[in-house]
Amino acid sequence: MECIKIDKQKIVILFFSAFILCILLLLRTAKKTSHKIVNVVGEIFTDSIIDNKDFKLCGEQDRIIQYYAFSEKTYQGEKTAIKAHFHENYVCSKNNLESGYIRVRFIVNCKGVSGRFRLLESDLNYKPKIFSKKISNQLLKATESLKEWKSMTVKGIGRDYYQYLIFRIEKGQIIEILP
Amino acid sequence: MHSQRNCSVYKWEGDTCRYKACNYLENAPKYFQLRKEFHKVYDRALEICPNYSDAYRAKSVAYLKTGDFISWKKLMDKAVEINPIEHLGYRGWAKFQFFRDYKGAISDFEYLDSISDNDIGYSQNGTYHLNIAKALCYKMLDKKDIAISIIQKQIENDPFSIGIYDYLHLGVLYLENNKYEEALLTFKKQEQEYSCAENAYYSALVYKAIKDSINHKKSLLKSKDLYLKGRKMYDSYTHPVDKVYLKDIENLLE
Repeated sequence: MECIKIDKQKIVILFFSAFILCILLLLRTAKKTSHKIVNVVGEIFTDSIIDNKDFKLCGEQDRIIQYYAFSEKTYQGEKTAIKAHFHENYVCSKNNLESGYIRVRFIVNCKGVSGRFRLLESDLNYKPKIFSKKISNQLLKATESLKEWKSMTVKGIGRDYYQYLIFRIEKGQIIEILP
Repeated sequence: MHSQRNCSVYKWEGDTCRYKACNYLENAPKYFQLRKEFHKVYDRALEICPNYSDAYRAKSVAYLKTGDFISWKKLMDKAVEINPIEHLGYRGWAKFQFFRDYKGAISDFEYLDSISDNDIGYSQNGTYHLNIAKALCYKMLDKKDIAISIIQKQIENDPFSIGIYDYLHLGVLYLENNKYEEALLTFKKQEQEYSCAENAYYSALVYKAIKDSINHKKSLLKSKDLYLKGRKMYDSYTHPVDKVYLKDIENLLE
């Protein structure tokens, strides 16, 4: 009987601890989401788990400029340099026959430093699909290692801006780099 | 986004559902198309009239511009499903311009042509007649003879509406098919339409092929000069077919 009593106490303590833990987790989640109300399509918030801790915005989150196509104003060497970078840094596995689109979207801060990289993947019919890590991780890492993004100023003030690259992949090979 | 319609059109047609949605949008506050408020306004318009295809298209633009091909396609498919004649040309153009989906674009252009009694129209940016865009899709699928024939026909049928780069693309196609004489003649026509770095660059390639080293060098220098003056192919959102970059020109000059 004594033994049973101790077990009951243990169970009560365990349930109580689990309950407290759940409450704490819920509060943490609520706190996190309260800061992450999406105001614009494709907004990228910081994620402490995956983002480089050294990457900092120069301005406020809601002041990040939307920038659509890259040019000589945004990347040193223009698209030629970007194509050459992926030619050097992407190795296509002969056995991988996957096709589709991979978008890597990120932010370039006012110092020309990029961060907060996010992936979006689909098949060639624009339906969601997950590529093998061999492909998506390579593209992600290669995009992270592009270092010639230019800083942008508007009316003399340095601004952060969004940028993206889309890779059209056919049978594991990069066919196009967009936009 | 294409411009908001004159709502009275729907009224005259007796389409009260679209008239109400259109009217609501006309009087609603205006927001930047990526803002959540913009989407709330258009969602409300869709509540008023679920078949108001323009609202789906307007919402899709934010996703197109941020490269979210999945959400863009879902919304545009909805717009096309409701009103194919109105939206097929735009969807096809976006497939070509933003995603280099040549087969998908051709399919939309050809389907539009088959169901519409009118001309299939122009690209969203106004740069190309959609037949020229279709020709460029065929070119990129390595069906260059088909591409040449479409551009020739388009120029012949509508000689007063030649696009800013039509002759350039045709000239490059001739060059790629080793028809150097036709290529040079076409580049000269392009010169009259719009003298740009690309036209001089591809002319240089023809001169190289026919071993005219003096004109080859002269054209490359001209191309570089035009490029540095900003006279080059340009699109706010993507990189046009046949565009060249400063590095390409400099590499040939070395």
